[in-house]
Amino acid sequence: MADTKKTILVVDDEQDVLSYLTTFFQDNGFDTLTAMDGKQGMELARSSKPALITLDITMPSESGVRMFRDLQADPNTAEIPVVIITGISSEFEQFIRSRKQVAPPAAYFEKPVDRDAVLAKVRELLGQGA
Amino acid sequence: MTKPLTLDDFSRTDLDQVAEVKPEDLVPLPPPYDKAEELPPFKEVTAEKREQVDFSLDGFSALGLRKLQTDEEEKELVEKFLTGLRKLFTKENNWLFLRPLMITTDHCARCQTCVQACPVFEMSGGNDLYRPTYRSEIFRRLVEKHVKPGGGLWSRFKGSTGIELNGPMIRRLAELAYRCTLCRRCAQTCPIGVDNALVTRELRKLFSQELGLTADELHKSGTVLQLKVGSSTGMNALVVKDNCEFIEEDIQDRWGLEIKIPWDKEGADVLLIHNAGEVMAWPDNVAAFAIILEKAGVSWTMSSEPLGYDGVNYGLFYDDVQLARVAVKHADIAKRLGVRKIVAGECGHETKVQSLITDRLLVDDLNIPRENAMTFLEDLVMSGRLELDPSRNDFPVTLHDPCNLVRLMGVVEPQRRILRKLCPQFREMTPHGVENYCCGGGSGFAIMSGNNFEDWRNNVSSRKKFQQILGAFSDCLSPEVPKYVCAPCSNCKGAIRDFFRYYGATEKSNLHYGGLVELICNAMPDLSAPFISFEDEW
Repeated sequence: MADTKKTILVVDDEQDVLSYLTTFFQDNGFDTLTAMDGKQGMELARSSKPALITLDITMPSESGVRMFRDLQADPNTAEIPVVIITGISSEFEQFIRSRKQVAPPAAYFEKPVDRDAVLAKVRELLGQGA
Repeated sequence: MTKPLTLDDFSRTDLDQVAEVKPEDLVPLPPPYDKAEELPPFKEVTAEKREQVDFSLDGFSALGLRKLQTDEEEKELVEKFLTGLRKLFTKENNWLFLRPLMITTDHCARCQTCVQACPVFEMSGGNDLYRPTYRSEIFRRLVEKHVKPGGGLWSRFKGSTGIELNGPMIRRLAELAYRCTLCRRCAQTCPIGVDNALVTRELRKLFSQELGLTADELHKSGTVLQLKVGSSTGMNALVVKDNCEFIEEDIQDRWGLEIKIPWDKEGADVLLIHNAGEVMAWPDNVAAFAIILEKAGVSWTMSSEPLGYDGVNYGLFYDDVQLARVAVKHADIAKRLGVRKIVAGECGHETKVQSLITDRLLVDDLNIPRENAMTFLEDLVMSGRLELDPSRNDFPVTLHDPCNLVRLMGVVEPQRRILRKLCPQFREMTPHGVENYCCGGGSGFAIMSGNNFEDWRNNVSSRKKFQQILGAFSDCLSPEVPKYVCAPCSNCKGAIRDFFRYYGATEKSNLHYGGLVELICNAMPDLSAPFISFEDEW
C-alpha cells in the first residue's frame, strides 16, 4: 500500500524561507501548507490538522510564541509536533524549553538551518525512520 | 625560550601565526581548577577552516576574516585602511574622539605602566602580543608614517619603517582590536593620561566604517538587526510581550504575586529599558524589577515600540554612527511617551551610552533625564517603601563591578550600600570598585563565540575575573555552601555564565550568579517562596 503523503504546515513571515522549506519538503515526499503569521497558522492548523508544523517565532499579527501556546491549549491541535525554526538569539531555546506553562517543542533549529538535519528530525518525528 | 615579539613581526608574511596561546603559559588558577588536563581542550580548527579563515594573529579568530585571494583585493584593503586611518584624524569625520586620540597618539612615554594593569596580558602569562602598548605602538607608527605631514621621511629618520603595510598585517590588526575588552584599566593607570583602549575602539571603528570588517554578533546580528526588527535578540514587540506574559505567570505561580507589566503607559514617571537579552536569558531579573517597582508604588512602564524594549547599544563597541542611530530612537520613544525619566536596567554598556556617551547627542527635547539602575534601586531600598528581611540572604555574596558602570562612570557605592544592608555575608573582591577587573566579556565579547573565540575568552580574558571570584570565596569554596556573585550587568552575566560552565564552577564549588534585583526580592518576606532557588540556572 502506498503511503499517503503527510502534510507539513510551514509558518514563517519571510517568503524566501517559505519557498525554501516548502520546496525542500515537497522534494522529499511531503505535502505542504503555508502561513505567514501565527494567526493564519493557527487557523490552518485547526482546519487542516497537519502532521507536523515548522514554526518561526518573530512574525507580525501573532507571534510564534502565541501560536505555540494556542496550539497546546486546543485539544484538536495539542498533539501536533512543532519544530521551531527561528532566527531569534540562541537563549530562546532554553527559555521556551524551561517554561512550566507549555510542553517543550518537539525540536528546535536556529536559522540558517542545516536542511538535512531538519529533514532527519521531521522524519523521526513522523515515524518514518532515517 | 620563546623569542620576544617585535613590531616587525606583525607584518611578516612568512609567519603562520604572530603569537601562540599555550595552556601551560596561562596563570594557574587555584584548586580545584588547577588541573589543565581536566579542562576541555581548545576547539580544534580543521585544515579546511584554516584555508578559508585567517588565524594568523594568535591561532584564534573573533571576526572570521577570510583570506584574500588576489593582489587586487590586497591593494584595495590597504587603500581603504589608509583612507580610514586618515579620517580618524580629521574633525569632520571624528569630532567625537579626535582630541583624546591625538593626545594618546602623541604622548605615550613607553613606560609600560599600563601593561601591568591589563588582565589579558597578565593572565596570558605575559604574552607580548597582548600588551596594550603593542597594539598602540603599531597604530602610532602607522599614523606617524602615513597620516602626519612628512611622515615618510620622519619615520625613516626615527627608524620606524619596519611595519610594512600589507594585507596580513591589516587583518591581524583587525583581529588584535578584538583582543582587548575596552575595560580601560590601562587608561586609568597611565600617569600621563594616554588611553590605549581608545586606540582599540577607534581601530574597530575604522575597520567597520571603511572596510566593513566587524564582528557579526555586534553588527549584522547586533545593531543592524536591532534597527530592523527592534531588538538585537531578534524579538519583535509581539514576542517580547508574549515572553513577558510567561514571566507574569511565573511571578504568580512561583511567588504568589499578581503583577502585570505595564506597556506604553503615557506620562509614567519611569520608562524602564532592559537589555532585551534579560527577557530570555535571565527572565527572573525582569520579574524582580516588576515586583520591586510595583511594591514600591512606582509609576512605570515598558515600551513595545521597536528598540523601546531593548536598551542594547553595541555601537558603543565599534561604530559611532550605529551608536547614534540606536540612542536617538531610545530618547525619541521616551519623549513621545512623555515619561519623566529613562531608567536603564542592569546593563553596564546601556547605562554608559544613555548617561554619558550621548550627552552631546541628545539635546533639546531629546534630553530626557536618564538614570542608572543602581542609584534608582538604592533610593527605593533605603526609602522604607519595601519590606525587607536581610536574614533571607544569609549566604556568601560578592559583587562584580561592571567596567562601564563603575570604573567608567563612577557608580561605586549605591549597589554596595544595598548589599551591606541586605546581605549579611557580603564580601568584596580584591581589588574592587573602580579598580576591579573586567568579566572578560566586555566590549561585546560576551556574545562573541564564533570559530574558536570562546576558548580564548574563557581561558584568557575571563581568567582574572574567575580568579577574583574564587579568591572572594576562598573561605567557603567547598560545594556544601551556595555562593552568589552579584553581577548587575547583562553582558557580564553572559561571560560569567559561560566561564562557570566551562570550568564546571557550579558543580565543583556551588557557585551561582545573578543580578542585584534578585537579591532585593529574595529579602522580601511576603513572597510565597524564596526568590533565589539556586537550582534554576542554565
